[in-house]
Amino acid sequence: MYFWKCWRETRVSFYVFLLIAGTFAVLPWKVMDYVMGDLGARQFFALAWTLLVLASSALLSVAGMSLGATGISEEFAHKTAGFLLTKPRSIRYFVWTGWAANAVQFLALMGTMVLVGASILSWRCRTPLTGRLLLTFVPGLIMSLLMFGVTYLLGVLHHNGRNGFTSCLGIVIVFPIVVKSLEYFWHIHLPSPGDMYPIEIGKITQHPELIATLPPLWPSVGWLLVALGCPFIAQWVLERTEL
Amino acid sequence: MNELAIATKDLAKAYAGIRAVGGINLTVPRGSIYGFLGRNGAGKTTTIKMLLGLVRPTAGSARVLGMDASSEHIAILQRTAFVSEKKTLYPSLTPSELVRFSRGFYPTWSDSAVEKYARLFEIPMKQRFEQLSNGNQTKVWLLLALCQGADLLILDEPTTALDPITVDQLMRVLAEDSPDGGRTIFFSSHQLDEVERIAEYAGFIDHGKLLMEARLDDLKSEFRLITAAGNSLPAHTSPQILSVDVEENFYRFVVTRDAEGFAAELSRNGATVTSIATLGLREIFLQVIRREQ
Repeated sequence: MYFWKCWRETRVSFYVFLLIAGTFAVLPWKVMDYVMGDLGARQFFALAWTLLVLASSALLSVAGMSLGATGISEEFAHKTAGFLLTKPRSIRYFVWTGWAANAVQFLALMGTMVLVGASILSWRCRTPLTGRLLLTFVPGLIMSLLMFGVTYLLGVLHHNGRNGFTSCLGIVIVFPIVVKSLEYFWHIHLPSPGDMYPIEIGKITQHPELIATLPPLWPSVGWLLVALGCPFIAQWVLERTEL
Repeated sequence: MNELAIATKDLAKAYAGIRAVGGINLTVPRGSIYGFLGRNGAGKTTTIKMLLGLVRPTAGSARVLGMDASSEHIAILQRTAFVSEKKTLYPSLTPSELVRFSRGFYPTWSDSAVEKYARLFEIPMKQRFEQLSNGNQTKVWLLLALCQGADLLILDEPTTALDPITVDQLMRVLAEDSPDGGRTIFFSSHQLDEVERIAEYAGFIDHGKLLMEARLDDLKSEFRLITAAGNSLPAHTSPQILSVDVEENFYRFVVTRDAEGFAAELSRNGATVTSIATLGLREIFLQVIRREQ
């Protein structure tokens, strides 16, 4: 029912993202082959792998924002909330069914990038895929859930998904500037989603073994909790909203 | 078993201190057809939203199908079909897809009813909702409501944008297609002729106040327009005299009860009673609202 409706609403953008995911999965290897084909196999693999991880994070973040702008906030914007919310289900059902429908899409996008990209790289560089390597994709998944959650929450607060998207975009632009400014001028470290990515790309070629560095636990858990907290807050807000 | 489908007690709603509904007491018997009448902004939609749990009352309480509207609204929605005043639905879905979407929410859903009403209302089931005419969009709402197998139908301006033929079909459906006669219909409308045609009960609301609630037959049998000629006849309203129009020596009284007794009293005071006429729902509604103004 509602799961089907969420899927039907987002399937076109999902197919577009899937196409982009497929392209992004192949692109790091092709670009690297063209630009740095003379690198040693380990360095080549490490750099291409890092690019793949970063590309997946970026794509999933954009997908998260895009999908977060759909759902119940758009029901208010399109004046269909009166129809949906008179169905005999709780707000919790609508919020979390929408969340689940989108989470499945993130997993599918992530799966595409991992299966296609990582397999090609592994085959090209004759490097076996380990569980530890695959865990480097986790921050990307958390980022997508975070972007989805923040956009969803802002959409609910605005009663309009597009405004939620715009507000989230504003945060994405302003927040890193604030974090960097605080660090630079006052040496204050504000937690940011960037903390989930432990490796600097410049160090990869010198130390290719760093790519298997696991994402730090607490920043990952913390941002996952923030990502999951946003739908809870949205649910709380919606339960107090009148039509 | 509670014999009332809807019962409200001092139900009130204010928005930022402005009263939208001011303590109304509705009583809608089970199995009845109840016309909820009022002008634009009278408080009809806000009342309906409170019954469905979409809006929280500022004061008072409402029971729908014996359940508390605030705390048990999901159980109420399970057995209640609703047609909104705003007939917007998902623009990219076809009526068939909307049926598919709605079906799973209701265990009492009837696919045979879908076929029946889609044919009766001539709804193009494969066309996207946004491409349908306003009338057809309204019909889709009605189709979805009628197929739920609900015990209570709450219809907010259900005939908006419908052509007279469809209005006629809908009125027939509402009046006749009640499964085992137990379905209650509560509908708001500006179309007083429609209400008069099918409703058994009527409630008049204005400025958030329920001005009157009665059986339609009782209203029509008690309200009378008395035309009389004479001098110095009573020209003020009272609980019995709803309104008085005076033109030279001619008086037009609208009385709420005992018209014969009132006419006899006028005759005793030297007046000539020229006619005692019944009133339709429209005239009664207008008189009641005008008196409040």
